[in-house]
Amino acid sequence: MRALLLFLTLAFPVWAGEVPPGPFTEPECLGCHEGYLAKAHGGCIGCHGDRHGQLPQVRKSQACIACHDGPAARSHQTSKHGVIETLEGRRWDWSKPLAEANQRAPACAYCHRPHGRADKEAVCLDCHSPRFVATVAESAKRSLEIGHLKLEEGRAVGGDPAALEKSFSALSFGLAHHSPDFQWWYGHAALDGDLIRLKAAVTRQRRFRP
Amino acid sequence: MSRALILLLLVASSALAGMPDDPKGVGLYGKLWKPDPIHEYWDPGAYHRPERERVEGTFTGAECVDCHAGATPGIVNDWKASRHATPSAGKAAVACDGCHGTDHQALRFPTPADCGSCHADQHGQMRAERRHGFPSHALAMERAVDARHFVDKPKAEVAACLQCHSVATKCDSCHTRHRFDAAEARRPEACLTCHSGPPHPDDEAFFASAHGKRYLADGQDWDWSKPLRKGNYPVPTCAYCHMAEGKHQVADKAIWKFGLREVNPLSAENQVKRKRWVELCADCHDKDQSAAWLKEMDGERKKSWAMLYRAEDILRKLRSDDLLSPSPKDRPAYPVDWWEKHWPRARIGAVEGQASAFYNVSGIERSHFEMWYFDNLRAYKGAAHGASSLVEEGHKGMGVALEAIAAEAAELRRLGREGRSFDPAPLWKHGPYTDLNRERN
Repeated sequence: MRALLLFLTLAFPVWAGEVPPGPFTEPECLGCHEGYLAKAHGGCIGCHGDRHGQLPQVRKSQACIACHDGPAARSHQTSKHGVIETLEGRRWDWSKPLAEANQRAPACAYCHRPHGRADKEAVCLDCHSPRFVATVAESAKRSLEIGHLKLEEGRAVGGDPAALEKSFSALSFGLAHHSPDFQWWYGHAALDGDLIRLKAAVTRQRRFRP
Repeated sequence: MSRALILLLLVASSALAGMPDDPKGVGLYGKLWKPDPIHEYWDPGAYHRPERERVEGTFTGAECVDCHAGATPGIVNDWKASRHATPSAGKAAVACDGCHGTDHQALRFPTPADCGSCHADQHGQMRAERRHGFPSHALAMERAVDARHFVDKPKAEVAACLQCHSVATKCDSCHTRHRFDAAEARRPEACLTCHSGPPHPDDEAFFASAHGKRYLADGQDWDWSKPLRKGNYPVPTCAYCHMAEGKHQVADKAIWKFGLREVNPLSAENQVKRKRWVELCADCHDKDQSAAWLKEMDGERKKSWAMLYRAEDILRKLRSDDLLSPSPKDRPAYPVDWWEKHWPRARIGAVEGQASAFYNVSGIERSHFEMWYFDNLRAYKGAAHGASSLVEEGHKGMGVALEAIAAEAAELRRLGREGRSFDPAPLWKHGPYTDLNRERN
């Protein structure tokens, strides 16, 4: 009985329809929103701000790009998902949860759930057919395997192992975010160039007579 | 026993994908490759066959929507917001069955011909674009699958190419499915999924131009439902110039085309095209000013090609003195060329086929490739769009590349005279990726 009274007292502002205005500190957020784990971001305020009413803004890709502004952002922005969000996002209802195609294209958080893992292939099914999703995923896996072979070839040549990292990372982002440019020009074609430069350096070294 | 059978049938039926049982490559070298399963989605006309689905029966559009509102809500939302669902006065609505058919065991995957059954003008324009040759959108897929490096490389690697080149084989590249909104296609972002990146920084060139800067300032507030015509937009965006008045052709006015070869911009054919450009610019600008801008671009191209020819010259001299390292016989053969067995040679410049010689080539050849494909094309797109920053960056890049090529050539000459002997073949002909590429393709 006492537990019930305690609960009712604490919950009163909420079920009475009043949301406290804030601003809040991190512990105060978690005091009510107990179940949320800030995955890898270490906190609520960095994304959500320190008071209520920010949630719609946080769902947009812009909220993530503020920090993740490199190939992660660019590969999404140049994909059709990103383009559609750029062109139409202003008119979408961001007060709706990121699920069930409430928005026409996935923003970052639609697939990357900061508060817990999402099955990244399952979210695709909100808009795409299961066979398409499976085929794209399989094809991406094969493309990435080929990228790994190029990395292996780079290691076998010797020289700077980091030389292929940037291009491999671009390939991964390109596959994950469906950007053909990042898959090809910044990815596979760039890896080919990196391998040539590695091999050329070794060839020069071996031929060099001091 | 029966449960195992049902399970087997389910597994087997889901494996019966839309591709034909023994899919073959298409195009010039079709006999030499087999498509990756993803290829069905990028060229449905060539590869889609009706597949065995788990749902049986025939359905009307309304019945499709009933199910798919739960199964694939994104598609249904898009369609409901489209003009197919609520057309303008006097037109009939087009529901799922209109494009995909009614038989769930024989679903159609719409091709441009399907769209053309109603959108005859646009489809006809696209088909007619073929006669303009490269770089028409209509020929893009054939262009991709006929590229030697496409044929040579593992198909999962070059699946990336199919995505952009599917502009030829699907109608949803610019006005995406299932909204198919012309307003979306009119905006520059619709183009940049493909028209961005090192060999075609078209998006950067546009956004850095005066036109682009004005678009970035308030373009999101313009009425994009308006046709691409004089007076409707304060500045042009991609489609305004390249698909003027909504004509579904991009190659009809192309003079410099991709930018990979020098052309005579004053040939009879190009004079006609120049006039058409000047007339288009005259929607807003003075004709003499527009003609002067075109001439400026001629000058920029001349300057770029002078540098490129000097680089080609250096490489050709190395080639004839047999100083390239590795030499062509010490590295995998140029793809898909039976000459290579008898006469392996380095390929330098567009005419010799260098487009496919960006891998399995020596360092200096790759340096030249990047000067030609990245720095040169950056300057080109900058000049074409009035973005001087890209012109400067491109020319500076070409200058740096030319110096590096000259230095590399000098070193190759020195190594040729004084260097130790070293057999490069094991390094260049083998490796985890190289072996896969040579064995499988």
